Amino acid sequence: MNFKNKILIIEDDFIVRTSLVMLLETYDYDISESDSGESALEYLTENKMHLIITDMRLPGISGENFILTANEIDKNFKFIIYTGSHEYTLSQALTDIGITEQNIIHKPIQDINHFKKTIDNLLAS
Amino acid sequence: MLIIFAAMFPVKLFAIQNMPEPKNVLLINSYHPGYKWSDSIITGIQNEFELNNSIILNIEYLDSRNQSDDKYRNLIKELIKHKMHKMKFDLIIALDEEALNFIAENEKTIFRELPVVFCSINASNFNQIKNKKNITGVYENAAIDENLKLIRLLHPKSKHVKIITDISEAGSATINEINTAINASKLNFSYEIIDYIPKEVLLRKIKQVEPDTVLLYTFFTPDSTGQTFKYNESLELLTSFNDVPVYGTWDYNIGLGIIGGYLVSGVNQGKTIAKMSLNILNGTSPNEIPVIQNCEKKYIFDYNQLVKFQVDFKALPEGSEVIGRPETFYSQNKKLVLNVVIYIAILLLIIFILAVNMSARISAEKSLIKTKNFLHDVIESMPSMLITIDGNFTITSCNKKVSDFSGLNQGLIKDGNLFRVFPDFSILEPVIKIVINENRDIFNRSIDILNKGSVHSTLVSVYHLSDSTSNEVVLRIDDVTEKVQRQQEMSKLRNLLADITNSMSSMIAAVDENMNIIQWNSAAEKQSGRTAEECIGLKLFDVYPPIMKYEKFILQSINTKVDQEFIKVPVFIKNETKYIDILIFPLTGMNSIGAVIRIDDVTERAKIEEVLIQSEKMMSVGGLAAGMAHEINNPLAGIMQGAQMLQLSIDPAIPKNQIIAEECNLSLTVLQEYFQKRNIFRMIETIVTSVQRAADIVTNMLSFSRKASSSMELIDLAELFDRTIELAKNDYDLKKKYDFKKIDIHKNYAQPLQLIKCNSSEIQQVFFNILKNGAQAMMDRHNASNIERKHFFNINIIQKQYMLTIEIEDNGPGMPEEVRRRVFEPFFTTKSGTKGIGLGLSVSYFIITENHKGTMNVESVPEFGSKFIINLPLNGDEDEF
Repeated sequence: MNFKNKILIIEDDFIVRTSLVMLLETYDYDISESDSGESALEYLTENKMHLIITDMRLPGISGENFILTANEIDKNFKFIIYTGSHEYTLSQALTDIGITEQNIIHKPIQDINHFKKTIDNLLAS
Repeated sequence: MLIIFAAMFPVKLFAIQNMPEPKNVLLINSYHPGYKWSDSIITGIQNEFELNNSIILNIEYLDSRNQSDDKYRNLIKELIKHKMHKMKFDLIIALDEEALNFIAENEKTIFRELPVVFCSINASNFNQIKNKKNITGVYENAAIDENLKLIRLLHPKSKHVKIITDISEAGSATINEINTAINASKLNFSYEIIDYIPKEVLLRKIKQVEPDTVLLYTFFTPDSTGQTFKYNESLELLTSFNDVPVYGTWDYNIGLGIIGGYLVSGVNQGKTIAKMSLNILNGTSPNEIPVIQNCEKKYIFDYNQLVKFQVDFKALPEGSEVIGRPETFYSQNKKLVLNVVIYIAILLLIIFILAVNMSARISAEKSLIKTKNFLHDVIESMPSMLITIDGNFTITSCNKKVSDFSGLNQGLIKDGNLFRVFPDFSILEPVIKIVINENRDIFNRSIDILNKGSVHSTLVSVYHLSDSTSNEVVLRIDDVTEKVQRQQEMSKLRNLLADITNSMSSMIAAVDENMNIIQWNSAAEKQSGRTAEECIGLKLFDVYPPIMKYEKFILQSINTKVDQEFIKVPVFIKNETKYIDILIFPLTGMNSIGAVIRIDDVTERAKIEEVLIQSEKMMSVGGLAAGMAHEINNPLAGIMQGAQMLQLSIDPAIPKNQIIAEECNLSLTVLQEYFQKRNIFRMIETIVTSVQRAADIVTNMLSFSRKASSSMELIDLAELFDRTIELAKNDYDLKKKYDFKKIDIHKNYAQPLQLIKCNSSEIQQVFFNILKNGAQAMMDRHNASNIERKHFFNINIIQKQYMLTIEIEDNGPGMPEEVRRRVFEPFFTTKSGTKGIGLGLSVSYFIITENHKGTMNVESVPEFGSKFIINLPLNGDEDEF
């Protein structure tokens, strides 16, 4: 079996989540999905992930808190913030753990290639 | 004189000739002078004869009571015979029976055929004259029956009646009458007739009478022993020894102890026979004069007896005569009393008149004093100073006010020289001199008088008293200082009020109930272009027509005394729509009917409010749009990912596709060719483009609430605008349809212009949007009307203290009000089809208001153009201005 990068997608919107899963599965990624930060964190305690794509506006724990908590679990986790809020700006806490504008992808994905490139760049780093 | 004598003489002669020859009447009295009965008859005869001068009465007395011997009789006979022989008698009167008998006896010898009139003759002796001629007279009878009835009437309780009489000639005749009366009586009396008994028996009988007995006395002259009594003696016997009432039958007994009765009256009988005699003397035959059967009688009573026996006076028969009433002083001295009374009455009348006069005088005096006091009080309490002076300016009188004013005692003032007493009044000298010298009055001359160092405004009147003959003049001085001060204060107050109303920016008009203007302040003058002088008295709506339709509300307020207000009322003034507030305040004063109308031009405020409302609305719309946009991004992401998935899933470059195609035994090349032919790629492309467009909209919408970005820099707006104009000129879209270069751009930038902190690209976007909109509107209009028209933009950048104002004005078609109001709303567009999505001005609005804390609004007049006005604060977003 080829090595596959493990990507966890956290998105509460079913359609957005499943279509994104399907889209990324087209590429050679091992995709897991979760509909909330809490279940994702639970999942992370048992499974190792390379990249986590998360919505920011989530039921329960917010995307930002999830990132910070997940970062505590494993500093090697890479994150992509996938948000519909175009006015979204990074908080100091996220900047401190190394998250930059490069880590932000706005909904809807305008350019799938740019999206894949971002994923691959993060996985490669 | 002679003539008068001659005239009188025949009259006297005639009178003598006509005197009748005197007649001689011989009266033969049976009794003697002093006999009461016969005397009373004679009195009656004399009384009657005295009325007739021509009768000479001769009386001869037979004195039958005292002289009954023949000798005396013969002497009398001779006497009368002698007399008859000497004198010629025309008539003989026989008084009582003795006389009649005497005449009868001597008829042939002495009296011959002379007519005879008799009286006091009892009817029972009728025989003596029965067959005689030339004789007539009156029969006398005692009224026994009537007296019995009278006794029953006056003494209802009496039981016994004792009738006393005698057996004289008269008595025996009376007894017949008594018996007849008793026999006919139905009066329930027990009767006893006492007659002809010895005096002692009579006395005894009388002493023994029962208490309820009444005596009826006729006469009792001789008793059975032959003893005779005088008429008064017998009665005395009766009345002194008993205590019962004694009734009588002859009036001469009254006063002798009888109570009274139905009495034969001697005087009346005398009068009756005198009248008969006169008749005969006047030629009537005695035979033609019937004998009077019943002599006249009368109810006569003794007052003392009536009182003694307690007889009810009221029970006395009608016509009763009561004698012996106690005589009063009045009755005794009637004349004196009358005189005194009249005298006193006259005196009283005089006193009364004097008293009335005096009381009138007193009351007149009182009222005079009252009037005087009243006048004094009036003069003293008058608020005016009153001084009277004579021609030498000497004060003759003055009122209290003068001493109050001057502080001098009233007594000191009097008789002094006016100007010495009041040096301050010397200012009045010319006025007073005019009055005195020219003899004309002066009224209410305004003169300021100095008094105790202060100036008093006074009204001075100097006049002559209307009824004064002296040269006195009255000085009336009214101190009106306070009044003048008050007036000054009033006018000051009035001016202040006018100043207050005039200093108000509101138009203030007061009207009466007929809508006539009574107050018109300077704001009103300015608004209407008419001065207060012109307007007062005119109808409000003639002067200021715009509020014509509020007349009924003004009237309503006047009637109901309730304020009313009408806020932001649009009115059309000088071809402009203005907004005014109309406040109607009814006058609530006691005497004023009307209303004050305050009109405020709130056009500017209305505009500001509109902007505020707009911005608030925009904020909420912006917030809504931003929130919505965020939610829309998720489904858009779903669509986009799906479309991208489709594209990706047939990409042969992706290994996974190859593997799965192989598994499915499918040639990706063939599939791609199929998709190509079926235009599926283009369809997917359309989906992706649409999503991107939606995403763009969402991105724009999200900017509505986006906070100012950090990319603020100091910018020269003039330069920025110029660059934007260049951009517009080169804009492909614009160039394509309308040559922007054909539009004149009039630039009017303030110099120097302060740099302003802003996001240049955003502001440029705003300017560009406005220019583009304006150009498109002008272009559309141009295309529609085909009228060549010079279009322009006026660009004004105005430097203000805390901000820059950018005005972008075009002469395009303008916008109707309903468009103008909504022009900043998202998705509001008048453009058709693909020209725009209606976010350009919304985004501009939010850039200015949200991101730059400025304001943006638009004014427009349809057919004339629109004007966008942007205010940007100089200090950027640091503070709100």
